Amino acid sequence: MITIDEAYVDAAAPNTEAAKNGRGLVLKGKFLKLHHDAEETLLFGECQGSGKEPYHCSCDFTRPDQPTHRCSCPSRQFPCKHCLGLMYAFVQKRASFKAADVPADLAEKRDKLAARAEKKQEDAARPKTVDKAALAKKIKAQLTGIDLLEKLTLDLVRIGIGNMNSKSANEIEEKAKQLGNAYLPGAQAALHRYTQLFAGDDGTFDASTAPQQREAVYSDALDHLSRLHSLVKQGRAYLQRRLDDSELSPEVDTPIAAWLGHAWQLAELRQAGLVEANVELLQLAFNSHDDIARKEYVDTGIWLNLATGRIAVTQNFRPYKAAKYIKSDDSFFQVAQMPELCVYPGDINPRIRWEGMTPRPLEPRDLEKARSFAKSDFATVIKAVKTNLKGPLSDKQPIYALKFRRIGQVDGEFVVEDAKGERLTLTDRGMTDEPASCHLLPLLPEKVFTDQVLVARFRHDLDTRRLQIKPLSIVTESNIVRLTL
Amino acid sequence: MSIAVLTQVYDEMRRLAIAGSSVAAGDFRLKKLVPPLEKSGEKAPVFAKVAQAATAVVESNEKTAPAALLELATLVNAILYTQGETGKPGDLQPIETVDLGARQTQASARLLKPLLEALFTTGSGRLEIIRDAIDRGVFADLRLVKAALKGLDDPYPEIGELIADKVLPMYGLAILPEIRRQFNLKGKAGHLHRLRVMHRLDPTGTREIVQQTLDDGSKELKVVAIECLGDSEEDLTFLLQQAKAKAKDVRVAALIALTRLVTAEAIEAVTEAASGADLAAIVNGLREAQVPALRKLVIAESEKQLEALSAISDKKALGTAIERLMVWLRCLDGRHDADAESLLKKLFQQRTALAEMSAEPSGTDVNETVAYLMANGSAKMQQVIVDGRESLTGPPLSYSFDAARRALPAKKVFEMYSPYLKGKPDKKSKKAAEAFSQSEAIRNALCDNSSGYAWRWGFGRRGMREAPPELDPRWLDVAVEQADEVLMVQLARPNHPALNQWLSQKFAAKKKATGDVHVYDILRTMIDVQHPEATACVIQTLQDLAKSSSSSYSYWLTQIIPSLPKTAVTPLEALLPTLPEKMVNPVLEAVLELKNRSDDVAV
Repeated sequence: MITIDEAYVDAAAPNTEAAKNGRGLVLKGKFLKLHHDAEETLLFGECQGSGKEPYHCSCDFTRPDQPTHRCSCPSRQFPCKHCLGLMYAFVQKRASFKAADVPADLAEKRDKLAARAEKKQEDAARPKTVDKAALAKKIKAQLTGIDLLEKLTLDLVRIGIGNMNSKSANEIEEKAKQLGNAYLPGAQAALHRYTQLFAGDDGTFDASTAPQQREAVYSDALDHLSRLHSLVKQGRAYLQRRLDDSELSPEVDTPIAAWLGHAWQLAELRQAGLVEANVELLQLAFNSHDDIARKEYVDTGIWLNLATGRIAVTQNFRPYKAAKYIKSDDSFFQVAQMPELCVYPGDINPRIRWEGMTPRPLEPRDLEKARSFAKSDFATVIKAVKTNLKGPLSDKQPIYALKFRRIGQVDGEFVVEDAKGERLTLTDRGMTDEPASCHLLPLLPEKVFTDQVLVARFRHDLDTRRLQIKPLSIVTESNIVRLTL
Repeated sequence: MSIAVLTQVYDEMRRLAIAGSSVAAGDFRLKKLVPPLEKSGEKAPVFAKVAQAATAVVESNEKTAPAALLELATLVNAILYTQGETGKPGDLQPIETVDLGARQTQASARLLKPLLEALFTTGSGRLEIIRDAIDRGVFADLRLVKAALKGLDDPYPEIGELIADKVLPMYGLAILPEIRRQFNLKGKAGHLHRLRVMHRLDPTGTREIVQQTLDDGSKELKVVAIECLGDSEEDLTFLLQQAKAKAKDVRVAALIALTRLVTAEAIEAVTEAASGADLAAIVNGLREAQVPALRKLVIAESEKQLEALSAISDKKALGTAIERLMVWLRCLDGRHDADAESLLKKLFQQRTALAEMSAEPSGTDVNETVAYLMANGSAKMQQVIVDGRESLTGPPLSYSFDAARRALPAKKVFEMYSPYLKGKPDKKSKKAAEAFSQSEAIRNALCDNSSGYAWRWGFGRRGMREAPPELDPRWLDVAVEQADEVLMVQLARPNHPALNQWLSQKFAAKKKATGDVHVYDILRTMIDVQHPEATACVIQTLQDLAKSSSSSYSYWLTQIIPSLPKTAVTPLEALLPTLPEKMVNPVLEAVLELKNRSDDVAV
């Protein structure tokens, strides 16, 4: 039995245009045939396109949390407008769907999928065989890459941060491409982040950057260099350990593998035991930003695990070149339920991913639960944050939910205070992934400034030597006031 | 003490990293810090480590310096990260908020993104997206505040105006600090809006900025700043100076601001300017002026100008004098006081004499102005022009009719004015021609064709009158009886059998759907009066269009489809698959708009 509604189909669409086009097909009467199978787990039909032959599309709900969409059209959008239209038609005109035998080719594909799923399960159960020779070759290449990263880092220190110009930045960018070839995309991105400190808003290097602007990035630049230095040291040690012991899997208790650019597969995370079963998540904040250094859009969701209270993040990377074909994430106002949640290695706010998810309405008890996880003692949180920041490769901008007594102003600065009188100042400085949010506070109703929960991002400013927070949202008894986008 | 040394180490290390590690070897300033570090290291081992790393830098050579400097940086940064200052001493004051709580919305990223793009980029079609967002209340999402502020600087001026006029005032005083922060005294375009919005939201609090703008602002901003003056007598001296400026925009802004001040000097300056060529430019100021002396000036100057007319024989000079009288009369718009009433009454009584004055503009134009002012004036004035209707024709009779609609019950208005409609085109006699002219005046008034006057003589938006009360239902009976098609369409209302029958016949008699724009008027009227065949007729017209070679006229149909009843959705959806590809998309959009309409009231 298929239980979907319009909101479900809207959310399944890769973008608003695809959803609109899908609806349009239904209204234009483009569907020539609308069918479901006897068990009502499969929708299939024919949709007239611009050519002579109609497209054959189907939506397979054998796995309800992970439906399979198939279409004979050449679109690279997934699901395509024909599959979306098929689902809209089902929601709007269920009676138009007639029970029919599953076409042979579709039945074959379904069987293949079932076989693949079975094989996948078997494979997952079977210990993974590793091509040791290939792995050793890859690790050696990575070690060579690490040598290059070290050379480039030391060269940068030798040149001096103050002497960086468009020419040297371009040279470094060019050489950094070799790190990608050496299976070290993470290290390449880390180097990009350094050079991008000297770039304008459009990502290009401007030789005429004002001295004051350059001065503002020097402390961050030095921090980046010491991070690259630590990456070289820790990365080399880690790779050497793996080269010496070919049985060794990627490390899961440190983020070093991700720093070097290891793309974790869900199977690996499962194998490493980094999964949680039957999880409910509540989205606390969402933002979508343009990462010029990586040349991609990044959709970031900040989620609270309603069972453990841990705050984790989802990241959806959409490279410029493929942005049209990758579904963008969106704000999520319900509770997401999933049978299995994969958690990446990480410290305070690990990255999370899931394969199938079903939404359920947000209830007051969810907010109550979420609020109960907030930290009411700022001193303890500050201590934990500082301990975390000490690590050169740690997340420098961790997110916490803070239960506060009140938010107010001291000398024009926004300040949040806990029940014991411990205070933190609020700022937007240095946290540019999300848009500025402090200026929104005077537009909020007074009641949100007393005894609520503030979801905030911490940052230590190396110039002012202050540990401050950026407000992301405020969780009240009745709703989540989102301050970023 | 130890941390102080550490921050010194950080500063030196940062200096060396900026300059390049080649200058690090033997650096005496870093070397000087090693002993105190070693001393601190006796108590806390971490300082000993820092001392060791600092020594390594000092003793390094060109080859080893970069690594040594990075070791030191890693160590010092790690320690300083644990020393970040938090908190803020002082009295925690509440945040001054503007409670938008009840009106706040939280839109999804997918909804906000296109709007943000419209506000942050350039290109066509953006104004429509922004207008739509305003109508849907999306701007109540506080996360749009920054984008809205950016919209003030949009290269397309209408967007800036729209944001300044409709969006930013919605956020209230809370938006002021940000607007102030962005405001640039030397700016143009968007900063003109910023100053106006700031003054609109907080005239007193913006006074200082207005003063600064006057001192150091750009030329364009100074003019806006002058407009914002006049709330305090302190402005007098400056405004008096500016009222004599050579630049007209500066002079006019100062004079308008002066009309708000009750001082002898201000009155004198305005009086002097009004006696010259600037009169037309300061009409708005004189009209809004509450200063008794200026209100008297308008009456006195109008009377003086009126008296002077009879002595002028030269046609050109007479035209100039009449034009000036009309400018003075425009200052009376909206005034209901006894002096204004007395002057208008006097002018109305002299209408025959005025009508005989032939010039450009003529005495007849004065009569039109007087009639307009009376119809929009006090109840007493409205009664005078209603009582005088027998002697009126043309636009003054239309205004008399408007005045009657405002002052009298609908039934009475019908009885008084409906006989005029019987006049037929007949030029055989002067009397018949006059009857026809009167008939046309009432028809124009019923069709609201007279409102153009307000624009013609510069009343602008103020001239757009409020909707008058409902008409007596018998007007439509008369229109049907006389087979007056224009009036029938104009006065159409639901459930009028005779009208419905006429509409059905008219639609059936149409020659062809394509190219016959009249058909669309008929269809529009059918929808407006909820004609039972409206949907069927629209569908038939769509089908006819589908068969024709040209479908360009389908645009008109797509405009009226969203006004159909919701019951039309199903038959229209059924029709969609039968339409040719070139028609289907615009019709589909229209059907969707109808489907998504929140109520069933025809728009």
